[in-house]
Amino acid sequence: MPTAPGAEQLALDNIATESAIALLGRLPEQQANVILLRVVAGLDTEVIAEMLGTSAGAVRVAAHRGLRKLEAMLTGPGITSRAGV
Amino acid sequence: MPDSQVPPLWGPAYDERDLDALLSGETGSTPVALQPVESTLAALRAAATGRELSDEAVARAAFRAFAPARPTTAPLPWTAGAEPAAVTSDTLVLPPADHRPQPAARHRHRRPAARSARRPRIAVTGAAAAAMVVVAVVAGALTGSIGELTSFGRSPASPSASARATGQSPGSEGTLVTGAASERPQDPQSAVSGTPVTPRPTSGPGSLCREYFERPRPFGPGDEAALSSLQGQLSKLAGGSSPLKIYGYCLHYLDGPLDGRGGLPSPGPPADGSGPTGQADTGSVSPGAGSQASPAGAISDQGQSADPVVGADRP
Repeated sequence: MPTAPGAEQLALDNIATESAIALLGRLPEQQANVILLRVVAGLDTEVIAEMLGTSAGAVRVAAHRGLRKLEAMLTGPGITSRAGV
Repeated sequence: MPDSQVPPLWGPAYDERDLDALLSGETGSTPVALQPVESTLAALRAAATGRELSDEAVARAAFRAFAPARPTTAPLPWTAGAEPAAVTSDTLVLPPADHRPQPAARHRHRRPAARSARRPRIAVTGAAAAAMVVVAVVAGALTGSIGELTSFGRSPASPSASARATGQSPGSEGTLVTGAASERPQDPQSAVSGTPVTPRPTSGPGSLCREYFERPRPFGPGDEAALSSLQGQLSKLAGGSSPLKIYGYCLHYLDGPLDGRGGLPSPGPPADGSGPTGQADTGSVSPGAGSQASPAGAISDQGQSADPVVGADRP
């Protein structure tokens, strides 16, 4: 039986997938693609590098830069999640 | 600038290992600065929310409008532990993915039901086939019996067949009796007692020919006049009074040659009734030109009963 969702799960549910995708859309294309393939598709760095035709190091750097920019966008003024996180 | 102010922390409060952990989905040791990012990535990984599925909910509601309401008395297998009151007749309950019955199990349940449902059909089909076989057998037997019964009233196709039916040879004269002999449309008085008979009304050359050649022998006292009258008419038609001309003329109107079925009346019919074969006539055998004596009944049967065309005049 599925248990009742906790507060964290409710907060995560409040962040719509559309908003997350919109945030990713504000990132450079290479960084957004790497994050999507890494997080959503669950692919390894080497596989993503092979798909995008780059090296694994470049993929790793692009993912880190994208996460930092995402964090900057989320913590910056005027951008908050729906749950107020 | 007072020295009491603490300078701000330059640089991020997380390192690349934390970023790798975020990308790998590891939670629990996420720095506070990266928690919003973690929430965003979790939203990307999460399933569709109810708001996102609003279109699907509309489609499901439309399906419920057409689908029949499921009775709520018996709990569904995947909702056995759920509250029965929560399931209304208008609610379409979809089983969760992990409790959905496997297709193989459904097939396993369907097979015995299909077999049991097929058994009555097979039984009914077998009974119908057996009934058809019985009907066919009975019909075949009845057809044979009916054929025998119906053929009893008809004359056989040939005198030999008639003889087979009676156990006599075709050449045996006078004693050949078939069931068709009674059907012969002749005047029994003239055949038996030899009393004069008035000629049948002639409607054409065919009737004249049959009247002339099929007249039963021996001729009575009045048959002479009738035969001479018929011969006169046929002579006019045949273009000559010769018996051969009359015979050749009547061949077109009779059913084949007259061999074995009677024949031309002899120019001088014997008064004693003895035929050319030297055997005694019994009243049904023609002593004429036929190469094989046969009962007159056979002629009548062939000419009138077995072949309906003969009854009508032929051109």
